[in-house]
Amino acid sequence: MAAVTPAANTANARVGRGDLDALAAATSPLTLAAEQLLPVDAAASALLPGGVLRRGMAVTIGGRARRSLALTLAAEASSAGSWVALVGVRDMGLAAVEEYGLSLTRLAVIEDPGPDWGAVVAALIGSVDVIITSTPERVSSRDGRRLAARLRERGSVVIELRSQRETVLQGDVTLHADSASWQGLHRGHGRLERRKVVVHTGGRGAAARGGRVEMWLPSAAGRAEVIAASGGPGADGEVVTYDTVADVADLTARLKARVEARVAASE
Amino acid sequence: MTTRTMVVTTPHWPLVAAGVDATHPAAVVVANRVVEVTPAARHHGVEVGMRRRESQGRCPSLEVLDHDPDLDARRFEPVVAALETFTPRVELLGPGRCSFPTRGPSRYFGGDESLASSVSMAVDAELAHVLGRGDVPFGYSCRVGVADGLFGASLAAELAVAARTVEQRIQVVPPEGSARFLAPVSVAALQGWAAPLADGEQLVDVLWRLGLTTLGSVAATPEADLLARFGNDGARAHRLAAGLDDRPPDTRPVPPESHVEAELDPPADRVDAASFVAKALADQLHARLSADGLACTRIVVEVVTETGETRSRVWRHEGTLSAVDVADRVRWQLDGWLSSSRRPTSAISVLRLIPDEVVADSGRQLGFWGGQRAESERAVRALARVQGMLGPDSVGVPERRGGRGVGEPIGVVPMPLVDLSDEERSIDAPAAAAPWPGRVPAPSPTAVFGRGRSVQVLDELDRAVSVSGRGDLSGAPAALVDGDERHRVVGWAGPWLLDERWWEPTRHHRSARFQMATDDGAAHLVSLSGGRWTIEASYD
Repeated sequence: MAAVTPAANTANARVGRGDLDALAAATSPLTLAAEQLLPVDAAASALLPGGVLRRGMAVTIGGRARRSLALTLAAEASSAGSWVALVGVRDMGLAAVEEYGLSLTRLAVIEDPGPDWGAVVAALIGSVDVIITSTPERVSSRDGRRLAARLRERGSVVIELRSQRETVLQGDVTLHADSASWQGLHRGHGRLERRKVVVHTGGRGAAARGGRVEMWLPSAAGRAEVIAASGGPGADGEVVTYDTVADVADLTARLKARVEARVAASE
Repeated sequence: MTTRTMVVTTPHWPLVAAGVDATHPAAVVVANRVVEVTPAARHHGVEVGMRRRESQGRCPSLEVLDHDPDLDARRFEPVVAALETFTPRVELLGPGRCSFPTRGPSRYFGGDESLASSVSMAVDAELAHVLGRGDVPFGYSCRVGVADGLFGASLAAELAVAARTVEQRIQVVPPEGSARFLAPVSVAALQGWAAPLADGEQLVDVLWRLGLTTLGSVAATPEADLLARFGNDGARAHRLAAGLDDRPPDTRPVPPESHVEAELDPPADRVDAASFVAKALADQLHARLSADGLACTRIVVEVVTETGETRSRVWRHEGTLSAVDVADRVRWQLDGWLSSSRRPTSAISVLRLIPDEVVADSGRQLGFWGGQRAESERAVRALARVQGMLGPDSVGVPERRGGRGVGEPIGVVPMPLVDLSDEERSIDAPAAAAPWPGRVPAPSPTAVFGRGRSVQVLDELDRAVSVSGRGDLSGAPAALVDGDERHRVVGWAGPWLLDERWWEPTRHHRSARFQMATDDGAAHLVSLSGGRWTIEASYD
């Protein structure tokens, strides 16, 4: 592709990263991309690759604060008009659902899908934008693959709360909070105010690089708030600036080398 | 210049498509609301707009059918094929409704009346075929309206639907007579499917309150005043009411090369394979048009098979066609063709979408709200399906009730008790707004256990902690024992005493509540009631 004309390669025509982003934004099919994304708030975007919640995505959440993380991801979409379904999530505290910013008028609770879990989730995919679900103990991997395929085709987001080791949908993004500490309680007085959690992100594709996000969940204001993020696709781990066209060419070469190395490693 | 138009509708189409006999009590239901009933069911008191349970209460033998738009569209295909013997310019407005300009065919068949009666005979023959019987009951037989312009013709057809005699099944408004025909009609007609208004409902509401209750009075109002008061909708309503023009006045020339096509390789012989491609194609068309700031109101869907058979249909939509709408229509057309008696002899190799009429896409807001509502309806339908799978009480929606207990402020009610189709429904029960002092402060727990899990709370010396009637603790909580797991308590607050309904011996509830954080990072709401410690809720 001769996207870069020779005229741009002069000393005073410097291509900054902002220019590249602007160019990418201008050339991308705007309405199409927007239709494929569900809105997220700042805290949720720090947890997701590229900072976006893409339709067709499966997110697996393990460790501590699973429910709070799931609600954080769904909050903005719900308040912007999407429906959210809770499937097999037992004893959900609905007051907390509202406090995290979800709309209760567009929430459905299917507490006990029983043995029809797969059929229920399949029926909701494509019609309900966000499905938060605890997977039952026994689900065949074939069912899981079928659901994943349907999910990609129909464009909902499934957030799976993992209680056992095996995950059913093999999330595109996995979140795992391994430490949590509550603040505000003392010995005999105070009240639960806020909780600090450390979330490790990972997954496939863009999310594979992994990252670590330290956040208040909930913060004193009641919702999620990022304290610090490092590594990972949504975070500002490595700050790279590309000043000249030569640098862009260099970046292309480096990316190519990296891909080749990975291909060689997998063989 | 208005086009003389014929509208052909088949009343109660969802029932006909489902093959339900008119003498059999049956109703079609969308999201728990009855939308169509057979005459037999109406005889039992079942009305359109009722809830499912209410209608079953009126008529226990009622057969309740879920609305299936795909089936409607598939079964309509032979009817359209029958109309194509009269004119090649049939426009599909939706399952059960189509229109075409009559100028050419009327000359050939000797006038609008005789064309209309030939059309109705041909369509009735197809309907009998769909129903699988020799004749068509009067209530199901096809209705025809002819007038200048689609709006007038659609109202003539509506009038024909209400007809009680065979002669009234065909309503022909004389040429140039549309304005006189429309004058006594109620303004409510402006919120019907044939009126291309952005927000017909609101406009009708205001017109009604202003005392403009008939289309004649709207037509008599100066157009400039309506434009000034209501914007584009007002001006358009004036034109419609005066029987002038029903096309969107701002149609643009279709940009050249704006059609999109896809070759299917390997050719598709199943509908789902082809409709998958159609979705991508529709997205592509939508993106291409919206890049030019245009939206499509009429589209030609053309399907070509390997052996060169072609089937094209014109789909029209008042308002604009979104990508999803287009993909739906392609699927309906394919479904109808592949399941009809004249199905193609080979697999489908080319799909082509040709925008036939485009307008400037000014209705962004309409698309947003309309799209939202459609999305919401889809979600409600899916939930109704799940409810059908699992039982009536399986799907719940939140209701705000108020209360002091952690699980009490917001409860869950079964979906059938709530009208989810109402966008602005309130989820508040009457007691929700009361202040309820003594509630546990926010943040609220994410897991609230209905019955509570029994635990032990021990002090430094491993003695069970107890609370006296005055709220004095026997010792500071130091450990929380939950089954086999024992955790150190790192922080706690309480006791918060609760003494509810002491005036009612059976419902009297007295407890002491604590928030406790343990060394594994968890926090719980723990309560002591009647000497028994339970975890009421957890902060996950």
